[in-house]
Amino acid sequence: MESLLSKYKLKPNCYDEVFKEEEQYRSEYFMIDQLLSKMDFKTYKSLNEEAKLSFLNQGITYALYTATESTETIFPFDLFPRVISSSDWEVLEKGMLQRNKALNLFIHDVYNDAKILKDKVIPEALVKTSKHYVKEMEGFSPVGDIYCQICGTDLIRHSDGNFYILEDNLRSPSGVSYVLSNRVTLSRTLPHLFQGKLIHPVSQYPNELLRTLRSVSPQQKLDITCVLLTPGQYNSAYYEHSFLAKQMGIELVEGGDLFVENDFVYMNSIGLKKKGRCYL
Amino acid sequence: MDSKKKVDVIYRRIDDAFLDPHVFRKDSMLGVPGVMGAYLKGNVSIVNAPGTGISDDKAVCAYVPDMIKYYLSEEPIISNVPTYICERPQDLQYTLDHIEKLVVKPVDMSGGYGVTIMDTLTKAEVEEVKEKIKANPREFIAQPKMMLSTHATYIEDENCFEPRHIDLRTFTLMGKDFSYVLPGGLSRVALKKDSLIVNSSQGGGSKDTWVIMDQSSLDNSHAHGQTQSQSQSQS
Repeated sequence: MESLLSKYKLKPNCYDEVFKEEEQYRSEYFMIDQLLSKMDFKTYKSLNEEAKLSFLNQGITYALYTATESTETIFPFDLFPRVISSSDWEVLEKGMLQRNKALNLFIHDVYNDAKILKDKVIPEALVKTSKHYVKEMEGFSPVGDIYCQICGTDLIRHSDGNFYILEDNLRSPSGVSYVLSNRVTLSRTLPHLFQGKLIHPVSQYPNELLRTLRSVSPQQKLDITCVLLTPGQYNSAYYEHSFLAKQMGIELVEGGDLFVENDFVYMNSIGLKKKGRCYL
Repeated sequence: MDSKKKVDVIYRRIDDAFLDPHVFRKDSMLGVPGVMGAYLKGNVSIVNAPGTGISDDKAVCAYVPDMIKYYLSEEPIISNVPTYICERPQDLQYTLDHIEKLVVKPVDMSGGYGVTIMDTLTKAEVEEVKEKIKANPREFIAQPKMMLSTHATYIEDENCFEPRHIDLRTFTLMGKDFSYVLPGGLSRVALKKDSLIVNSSQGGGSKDTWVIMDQSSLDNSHAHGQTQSQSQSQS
């Protein structure tokens, strides 16, 4: 039988994640090889269709905007998983923690003592002319001096085999809902792929996120109220907003659902209930 | 149930500009008037904090290795893609002299918008980009064209597997006294043959991303009994 990947041609001068050379799998992919070598294209194709249907049934769509129109599409998904070795991950994880720590210290410094600018390590003008510089933050310290509770960093692996940072996203990094739903879909479509495999789970992310939010509450008490503020259903990431709110068991609110009284923020629970967005 | 409930933490998925019409854009209908006042009094937390976007600026991002050395006295564990900050005269000169080999990006756009891979342009288009950079160097950075790694990807129309370029978006959380990196992240795939742009807004796809457990985390999960059972429940 012809295997799924027997005709796979490597792209010259690129690091291929799966193959060291033609038909020679990298060791982290051995278990994938075991599964795929037993499968033909017909089976793979029908499983792929099943996976697509699963996304549709989960309501996982993405608004794609072009100059003239917007359409709701399924985020294209491919059953063949990407595998990261534990030794690569160890470095990546340490690197991300180090980077986030430094970024957070930087933001705190910029809005307070601005030492790094005074020491001319980073040109002051570059920071102060950033469109995202918020003057109102000067002299203010948030709970725990934490600014970037959630950071999405994009990495690439270059042809030298090393990972490099492409950019950090500290405003509203999106995409985590796809990480969770990709795993659900793959484990539904190819359940035996996971049998006895020792893969780090991702399903705890919403709990970790909620723990993060609660840890920076101005008051530590039993009933901390967290909300997810969305621009609304026309935002391209609206699916993710509602998904995460539901997973964390917190309210999904729009600006109009919140109001400020004597410098405290409240949500109008009756209004939320009417819109059917109240989970409490 | 009370008609109003006090809110302690706002995980906002709207940009600073729309957060509070009293402080930022006055025409914003998406935000909450007065929320910045409540925040600065310490009565509510906004996540991420307003103003974190200064590090999103691609020209500022280029300085993260310097930040790591400055604040932590450590060497960066992962390097940045080399970046030429067009605001620096010598970087601007390099960018203009070697532009055909570079990728030019606006400093404040995400989602792959505005990314220009110069060797795909005509001579006239290249000149146009050069003029744009010269007129407003603060707004641009340039990077060498990095060959993203490839991954076997099922191509539906051809019913076969072909290499496609991928990247990895990681998710890192920082709470009070703890931090967390989601194992793996989102592997984004540039579905168009030879394309280096993986963003979903540009028609990219994604893959489930596995991080294999090593022996030590395995022992650890036996000890706690949790990670192990979670991975088993996936099957």
